[in-house]
Amino acid sequence: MNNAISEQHNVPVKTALIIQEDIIMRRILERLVKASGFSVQICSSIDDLALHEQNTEYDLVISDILFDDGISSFDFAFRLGNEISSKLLFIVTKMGQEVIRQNFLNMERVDRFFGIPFDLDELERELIKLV
Amino acid sequence: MQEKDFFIVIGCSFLVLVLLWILIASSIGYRKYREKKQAVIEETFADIVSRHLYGNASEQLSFIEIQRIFRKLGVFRKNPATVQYLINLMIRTQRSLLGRNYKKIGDLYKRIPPYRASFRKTQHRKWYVRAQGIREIYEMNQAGYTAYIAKFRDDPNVYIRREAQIALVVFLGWESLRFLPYLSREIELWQQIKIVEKLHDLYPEPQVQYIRKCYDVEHDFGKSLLMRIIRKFRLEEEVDFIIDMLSHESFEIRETAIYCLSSFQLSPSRLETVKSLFGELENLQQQRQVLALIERSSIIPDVEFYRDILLNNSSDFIKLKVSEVLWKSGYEELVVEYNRSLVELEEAFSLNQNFQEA
Repeated sequence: MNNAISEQHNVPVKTALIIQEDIIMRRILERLVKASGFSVQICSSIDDLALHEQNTEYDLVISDILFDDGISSFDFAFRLGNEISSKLLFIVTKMGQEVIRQNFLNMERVDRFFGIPFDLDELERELIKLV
Repeated sequence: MQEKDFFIVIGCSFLVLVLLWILIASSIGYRKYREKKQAVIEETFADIVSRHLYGNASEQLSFIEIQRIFRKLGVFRKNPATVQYLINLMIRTQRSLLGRNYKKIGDLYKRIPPYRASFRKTQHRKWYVRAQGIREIYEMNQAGYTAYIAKFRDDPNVYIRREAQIALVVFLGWESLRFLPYLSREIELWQQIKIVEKLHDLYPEPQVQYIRKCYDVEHDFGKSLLMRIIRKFRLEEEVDFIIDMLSHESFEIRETAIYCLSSFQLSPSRLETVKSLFGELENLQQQRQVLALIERSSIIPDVEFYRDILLNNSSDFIKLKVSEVLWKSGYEELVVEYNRSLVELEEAFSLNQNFQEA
């Protein structure tokens, strides 16, 4: 419905990419972000994305911290920054320890950090602000 | 003859080898089949949960439809491994969420299979299955079982009562503290921390009336738990209870009281109470900790209090600590004066001794 309204007013629909290894969290986030008016692309890792999808500039990327090929969490964040271009980057991860949270938020690239377990309403409020 | 035996041995070995291959192949095949089935269950469950939380009206499924879907996937009583797999998925999801969705998902779990499987586990003859059943019930927020689980809160088996106590905290929140005076078995430190953390995660709004009702609790573990709750929730108005515990006969209780007090900035009147209790502490280490507490909460050092310790306390260790505090606060002359009187005293004492020897 939101998409339709946007099309009617010729406002381009905002795009979001969700990278989550856990399929349950991936699906929940997908529906939440869709319900907030985004056009959503989902995947379980960066490698799953086709080349044209990697070259797209997303309005928002919501990503887990993944350990692809045994790389560290920071290397993953750098890889994310290099390979996916987005206006905003939110992290949603089970690795929500305070030290990791601070380290990620200190990186210029990361805009919000949600450590699981968390209240999805907080994320929803952020999404509403964006739309 | 020998050649025939040789062929029989070769034949048997080959047969064993073939049987082994069949066994390995069937095991790999079964594992792949099971993984595929589990992946389908996981995908279906993810879809149902996401629809329940954020789907629009047309995407919502009725509970009968959900039950039918799971039944088709083989989630029924006679298939305990599949049922357990679904329970694990449900618990994993519940653990990931807080706030409104935590409750919303609990409502979903009430009405879909395998809602009775965990309850049946609580009636199993093995204690670890019973404990697991209780854990599953509270992880899935099935508050309908509160009264039933309350029966296990003081169970002779430590693992069962631990899970039951956590379940009561999850279901009743602050109200669960009313069970505290009636517990007869020790709540270990780790369990106390777990209770406090669970309370903090699920019920962040403190309800002090339930704490106040427990102040007369007789057990030491109950007192420790209350102090930890006051500390975690930073209940300034309840700090007097912790201060009272400084004069408790148990070393561990005093230790917990000092640890919890260290998280608060004490008001002048409370500081006076702590100072009056200082002399009752027999342990040097605890005296040192309380001194640090007093120093941290004092804007201006209480010179009289420190002078009294210098003159009357029997421990050089404590006197040294007090001297350090005074020195750092700019009262060097007091320390020097005390030191001089000490030297004079020593000289008088040695003169007296020499005189007696002569």
